[in-house]
Amino acid sequence: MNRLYCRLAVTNLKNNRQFYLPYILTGMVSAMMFYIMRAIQGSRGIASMRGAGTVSIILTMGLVIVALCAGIFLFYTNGFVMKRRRKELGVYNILGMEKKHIAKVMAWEAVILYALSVCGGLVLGIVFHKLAAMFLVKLTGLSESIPFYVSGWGFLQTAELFGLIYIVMLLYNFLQVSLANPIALLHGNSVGEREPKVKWLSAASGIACIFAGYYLAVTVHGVLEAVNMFFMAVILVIAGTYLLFLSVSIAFLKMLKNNKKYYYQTAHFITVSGMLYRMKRNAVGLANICVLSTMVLVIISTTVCLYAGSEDSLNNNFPGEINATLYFDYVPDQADREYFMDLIEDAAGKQERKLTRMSEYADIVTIIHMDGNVVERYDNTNPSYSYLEMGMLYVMMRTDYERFTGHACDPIVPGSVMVTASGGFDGDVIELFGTQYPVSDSMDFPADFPDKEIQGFLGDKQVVYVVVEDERAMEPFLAYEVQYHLEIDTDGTPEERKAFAGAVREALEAGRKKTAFTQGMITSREEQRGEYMELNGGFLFLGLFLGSMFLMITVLIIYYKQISEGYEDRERFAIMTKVGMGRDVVKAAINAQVRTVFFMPIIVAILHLAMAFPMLKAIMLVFGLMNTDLFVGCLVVTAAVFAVIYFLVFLLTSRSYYRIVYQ
Amino acid sequence: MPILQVKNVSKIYTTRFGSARVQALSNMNFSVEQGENVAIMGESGSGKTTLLNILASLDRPTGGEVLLNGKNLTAIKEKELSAFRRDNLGFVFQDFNLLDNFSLKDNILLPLVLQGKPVAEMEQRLAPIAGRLGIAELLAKYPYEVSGGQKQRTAVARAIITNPQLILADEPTGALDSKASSGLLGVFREINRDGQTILMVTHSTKAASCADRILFIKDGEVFHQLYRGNLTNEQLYAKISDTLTVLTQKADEMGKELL
Repeated sequence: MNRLYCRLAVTNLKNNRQFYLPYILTGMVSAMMFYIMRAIQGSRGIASMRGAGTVSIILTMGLVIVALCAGIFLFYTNGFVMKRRRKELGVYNILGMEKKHIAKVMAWEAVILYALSVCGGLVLGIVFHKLAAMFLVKLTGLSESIPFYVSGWGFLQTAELFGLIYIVMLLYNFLQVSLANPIALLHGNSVGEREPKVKWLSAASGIACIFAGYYLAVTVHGVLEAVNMFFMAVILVIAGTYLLFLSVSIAFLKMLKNNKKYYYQTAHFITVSGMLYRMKRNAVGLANICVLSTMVLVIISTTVCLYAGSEDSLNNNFPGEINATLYFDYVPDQADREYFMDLIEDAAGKQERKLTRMSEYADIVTIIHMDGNVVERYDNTNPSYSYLEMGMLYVMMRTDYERFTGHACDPIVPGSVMVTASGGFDGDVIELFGTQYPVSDSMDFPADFPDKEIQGFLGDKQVVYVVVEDERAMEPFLAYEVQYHLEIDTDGTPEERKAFAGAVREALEAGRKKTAFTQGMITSREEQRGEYMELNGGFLFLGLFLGSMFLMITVLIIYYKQISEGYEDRERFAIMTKVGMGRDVVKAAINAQVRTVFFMPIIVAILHLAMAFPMLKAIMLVFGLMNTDLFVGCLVVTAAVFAVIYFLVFLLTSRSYYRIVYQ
Repeated sequence: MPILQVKNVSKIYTTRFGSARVQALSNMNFSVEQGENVAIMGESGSGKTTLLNILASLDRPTGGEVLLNGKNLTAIKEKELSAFRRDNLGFVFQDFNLLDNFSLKDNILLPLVLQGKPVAEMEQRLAPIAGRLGIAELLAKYPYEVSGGQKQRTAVARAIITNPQLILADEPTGALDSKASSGLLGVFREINRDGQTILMVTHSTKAASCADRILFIKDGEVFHQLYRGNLTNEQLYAKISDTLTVLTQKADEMGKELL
């Protein structure tokens, strides 16, 4: 008896191969991706590498996302296939199979599907694991190669995860069948077509959501705000996208329909009414495609840009090959400064390095709350201070300020100060921490101001430079952080430069005896480069990995959508031909609708991407990327490549669509 | 001059590799006069559907010719066929063939929209037809919201709104209950009285008994025809029944002889 059910299950799968082949393929590819992620993440080769921590965290993140996506998407596909098979199950029921027999057949089907997907996925996973691992090593610049191995845990967890997914799906299918009566099953996919109603409220809120999301993205100021608002904007735009496809589209079509002059024309008549139904049935699918496409575009373009811009961000974040910052309780005088420079030159001499540039300046830094001309210390515990109003204050001597900016200034009258502020400053007096100072001169940031990026970071928030004449004038601010900065460029190979960074570190440490700085911090661009590549390479790997997974999901949704529409349209177009519509007119009408429905999601996705640009640009600053041209380039290229792939998918899937319609 | 002339029409279907040939129509001859109401009767497999498809220019005969108002259907180019069909023929089908995504009004207007008529003219033509067919109140509804009889009357409205030369009806009462059937036949009679030529293919004796003339076809040929003369519907009904009985008996006898 069991063999009969098994045979029946095999026949069913074969007869429905049009639906099941892509379904099995999805299962395989998801299983493969999960296995590869798991195998790389768990490999001893990776764990033993330097910088593996970062990569491992990124991979774990990816593992969770892959598992979630696989689950959600297999469920979606299963729902689609079941909907199309309801009639078949109804026939079984009427032929006298009890529901428990149908359940047995379905269980067999699930077992076969599971076995095919997981076995296929694991085989593909083992084959492509090495390739993916090599790719990761190349991207992250990890030095060692990863030995080939078969991950036992990877095997087990893949089998477990997918087993769980298939069991849950099977239970869901049981439930569906047991709830339905045979007649309902028989008429499974032809429940009466009601004309969609216009939901004005949801259409209006859809437009409002999208505009609100766009507004947040376009008017964003500074990184803090961008990071804070990003999630909000994404939620708004996603909600808006669903409403856009569900309600706004229908409201728009109804408006066209109510315009009789427009509606009663051959081309518009068929298209508008056809679109109304298409939108009603496919709105969610289209919105899914749109959201997924946007995700693919954002993920791939940002990670590619981060990777390509690694060198740029390094140069921005580390202005010198070696950057040292020493913290003091007092303002170091000229003798102290010369002492440090001598130490470094000695170290350079010993290592036979040539210093190509050495610059230094001192400043006092603190976070402030600024209200008009009154500057107060920023207080975390004060509830009336919003972090959005947080600002930065730098106090510098005139000579340091000149060195820092490269611009000469007039001497400053003792007792007064010069003010340079990001938002401009006007007023004759500035109150700093309770003391009033006359302002001798004030200006906006000049275009070539070195710390431009600070503004990017802080957006609208005030960045204020207060410049005084000499060391004595800095004394009132000693309560805050006194810093002495050194930027050094040098020649030599990467290894030699790393060694020199070590020597500088030792030399400055030795200098502590004489100058008593409290703390020191030294960074070497060469050392940072490794970490940057690991982080950005890891992200790029993950981006491409997830991007291709989302792309696969998008393609499959498109495929299933085309097929189900094909079945829906077949009958309608047969009738139209009968009542005197030429085949060419029918064809043109089909084409117009298919194309509109198909390209709407990607057009909306690209619009989303364009609107998200200012916000994404700000967020890229977190990763130290300030090269706008590069980012624009990455976005445009990613969007173009994606559009080409999308178009190819359209050509391929529309073939199956037309085959069904013209059958 | 007759509005429709069918001369020596034959149709042979060949399977894809030419191994089997099926003669669906053999040497079919008849004509229909302007304003006539003709019914064609025959059993399943007698060639009714093939004939109708050829008259509807959906299919081409293998031999002979079909003239509509003197114009040879078989000589019309493929490209112009749809337009020709739209302008000269009206169709009423057994399963209505209404589009679910159009309201009744839009279903009726569909052929006019395809002809590119201005909106004002469409409305002007629609109003009297809808009134006469008793569907004026239903125009804003959708096919799934109305009864079978109402659907079929909508289909009739769609067929006559272009003022076609000829209406071709394929088992128009096939999917209707007896009350709706009578209603529909009444509609046919009425539009026929206004001068509309109708050609109906049917199984139903009752439907056929409303026609002026009944053609019986069998094995792809016109076998017999009945004229109403001045018989009432009931008398004609009895006559058709008798003819059908004779036809069946003859067929049985012929079958026996062959054995």
